[in-house]
Amino acid sequence: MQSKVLFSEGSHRWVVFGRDPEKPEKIIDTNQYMIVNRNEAILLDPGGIELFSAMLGCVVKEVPIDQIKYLFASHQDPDIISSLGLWDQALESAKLYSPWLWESFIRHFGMDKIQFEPIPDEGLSITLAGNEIQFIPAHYMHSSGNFSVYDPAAKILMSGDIGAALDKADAPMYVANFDDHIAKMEFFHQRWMPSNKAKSRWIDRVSKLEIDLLCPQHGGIFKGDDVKRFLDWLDKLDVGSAIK
Amino acid sequence: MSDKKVFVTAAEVAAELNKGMVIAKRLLLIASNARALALRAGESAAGFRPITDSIDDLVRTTLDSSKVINGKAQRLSRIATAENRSALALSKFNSMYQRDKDAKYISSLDHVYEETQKQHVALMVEFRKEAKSLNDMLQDLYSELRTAQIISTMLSVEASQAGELYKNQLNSIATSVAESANAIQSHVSQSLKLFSELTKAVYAIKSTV
Repeated sequence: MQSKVLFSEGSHRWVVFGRDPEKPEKIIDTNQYMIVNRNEAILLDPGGIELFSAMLGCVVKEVPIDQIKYLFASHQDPDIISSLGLWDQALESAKLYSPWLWESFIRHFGMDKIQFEPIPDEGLSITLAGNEIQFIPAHYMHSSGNFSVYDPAAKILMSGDIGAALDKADAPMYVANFDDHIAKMEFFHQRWMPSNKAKSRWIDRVSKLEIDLLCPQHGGIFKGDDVKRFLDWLDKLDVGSAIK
Repeated sequence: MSDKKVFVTAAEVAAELNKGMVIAKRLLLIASNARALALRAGESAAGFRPITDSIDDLVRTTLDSSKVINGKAQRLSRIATAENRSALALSKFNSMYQRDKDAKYISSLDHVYEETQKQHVALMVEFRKEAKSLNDMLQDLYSELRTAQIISTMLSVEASQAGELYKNQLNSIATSVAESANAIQSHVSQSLKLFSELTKAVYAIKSTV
């Protein structure tokens, strides 16, 4: 599994893990993110069971394991958090932030030591060693209880499945050409996202934020002008295609 | 022990016992019918009534033991699940140690690894202890059910002494008791067989740990 530092300023950094060449062929490629600030770190959408070992290896290349104080699961899907039972063995004391709606479902992945911290529907801010991290509502995008993560200091938005593209496992970490990229994300958004209203609400919300990088859970990361291009493209896209 | 068979076997043991419990409940009805018939048959079937009490006792023992054994089978399955999870974590840790041995902070995992190993061993020990206890209870229940044959024989003897009017019905009850007890015993025996396969598998894995 590859690691790439997306942002680094003092002891504050963002790292993405993904593009694992040893990943079993039939499971979808995923991006896992870690925010580190001083002696605390949070793993965002830490991934599925299949990737756990590779993820753990990547994490301990960056920080000692006891610095992982928090996990975040944007929603309940297996590629997001089915590794929970294994992180539960690896982390002595950590908290999992996730939509309150999914607590009793996510616990099915196994959770004894990790403490569940429900995120209310309206969102929540926490501090990571003094640095603010915001959980922004993204309900019905695609899951009925869903959050994005915004780091105002780094100006990075982790958007979960929003902005996801079904790409090759060795695709570049950043979107190289937005127009070419559309074909890789169009079906995903039309079919997985259920509600035009929810989509507009999320776009309104995140358009007010300063975003240098928009980081989805699958496919390339949007940077610079591509962030606005993506939001404009999504705004015009008709979603919920399975019931049309 | 980190084998799917453990979960399957625990579930199969519970299912076999459940079948036994259904038959045992039916046996209660047979005992009740026997009591009513013995009353109607009067003096000629006077010996029948105390024997029906023995059937009641046997059924209650079967039901009580099955309930406890069922609970133990479920507990065993839970232990096996926890053991499976810690074994999975150990295997994932091991592959990470092999692949990423140069990772800067890899030693920060050593404590967690040792704790997971300890937990794994503790779960194996607990599993074996619980498995033995469950096996002993199944053996006891199997032995207890042998008394059903004695009860059935006593019922047949008493039936032969009853008046002609009731003889056939009482004989039929004696046969039903014997058949039901045999059926329950066969389910318990099947549970024991499943369990012995499981025990073999557990010990085979123990020698590799």
